[in-house]
Amino acid sequence: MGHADSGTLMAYLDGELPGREQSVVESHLDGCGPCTAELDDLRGMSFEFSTAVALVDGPVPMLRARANIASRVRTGTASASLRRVPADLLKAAAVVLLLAGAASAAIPGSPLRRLVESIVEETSALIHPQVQPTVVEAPEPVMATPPAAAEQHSSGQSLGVSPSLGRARVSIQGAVAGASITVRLVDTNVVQVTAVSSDETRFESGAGFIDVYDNASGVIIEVPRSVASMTVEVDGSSYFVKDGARTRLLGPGSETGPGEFVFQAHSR
Amino acid sequence: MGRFVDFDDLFERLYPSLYRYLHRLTGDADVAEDIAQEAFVRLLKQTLPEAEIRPWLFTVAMNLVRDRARKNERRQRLLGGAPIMVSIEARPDERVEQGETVAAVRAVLQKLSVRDQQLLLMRAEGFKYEEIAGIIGVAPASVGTLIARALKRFDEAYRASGAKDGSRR
Repeated sequence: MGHADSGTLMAYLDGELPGREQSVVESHLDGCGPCTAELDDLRGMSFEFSTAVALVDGPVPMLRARANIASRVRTGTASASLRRVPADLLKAAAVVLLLAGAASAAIPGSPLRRLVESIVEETSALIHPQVQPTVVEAPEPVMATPPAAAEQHSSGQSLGVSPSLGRARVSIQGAVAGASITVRLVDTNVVQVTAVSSDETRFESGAGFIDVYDNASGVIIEVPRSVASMTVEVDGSSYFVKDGARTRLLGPGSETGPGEFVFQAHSR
Repeated sequence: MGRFVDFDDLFERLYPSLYRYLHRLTGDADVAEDIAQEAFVRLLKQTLPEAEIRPWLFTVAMNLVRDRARKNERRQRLLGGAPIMVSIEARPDERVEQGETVAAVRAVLQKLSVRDQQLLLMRAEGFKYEEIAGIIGVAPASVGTLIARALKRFDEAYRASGAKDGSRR
């Protein structure tokens, strides 16, 4: 192949090329200095961007947002209760409304016609207009149970996930100020989070991410050296970024050994 | 009829990402919070395939950002001032030594076109190229090229701002 353009190299970096094309580009890079240099540039710029934007992040107001949304739902801003009406009843209502709509169609511009049209439109939208729809239930004041995660590896106070498309994220929430967070680069393919002396740590995970609800003395996070992009956040602020082979602490902390970083929660 | 999904589950999975995206995009924590909440409230009125929920949320949020920018512009015109979309001032609680860099990063982001910001910030949130293409309205095959160009533009502006070296520790 000729030289790869920057779009192809970007897609290669992000794991977005189809398998065969990924192999072709990989082979080409082995013997092409200019393309390898271009790829390194893109990787470097990507790292700088991740690092720079992480600096502007602040805490995510989870509790306040959840309370506000629940309050708006309760006061009727979102008619969540309607979502729980049985499908058969909705269908029957829709049929009646459609008939009424047809009858009223003989009177162009009538208020009844406009009203019926608007109700028919809203009701129809509720009756499975898409293939395999998902209905969102209204918020409840209890925490969800952890979703079943594909590629999840759990053992006691420890949970691991595989990166998704070469990317991963660990987000620690509810950490005590000063809690010690250790990030360690390892030669495995799994991001592993272990709670230190805590019986109450709760994990939630999904494709490439682990959310840790922890109020204990800290956690240890093992990061695969092979992961293309990785961030560690505490209460919404980014503390550690890995992009390609490059790593960076985004606040006070130190490298305590080869590939091992330690920082304290809320030290940013 | 489709299956029910738990709101708490969706909220825990998607709110931090949506809030972070909006905060980075607008540079305003209050605006990000308002818009993210509004998008979630609107989500409760929807019936969507699960795979479409995240792109839908981000699309709605982006429309709300545009609406707000238009209103701000109108207000500024009526007041006779220059249009201001967001504040790039550092928050008071930011450390002094970080404040200038943070403000500079925000300023650099604001120099990019909205599309470039969307491309880079959605990539940072782990969106697949196909999803980004759907939200922005471009061909999936062009996303890699557009991201590479946006990264280069960010890099140039970041270097020119002088904040790039200042942010290194």
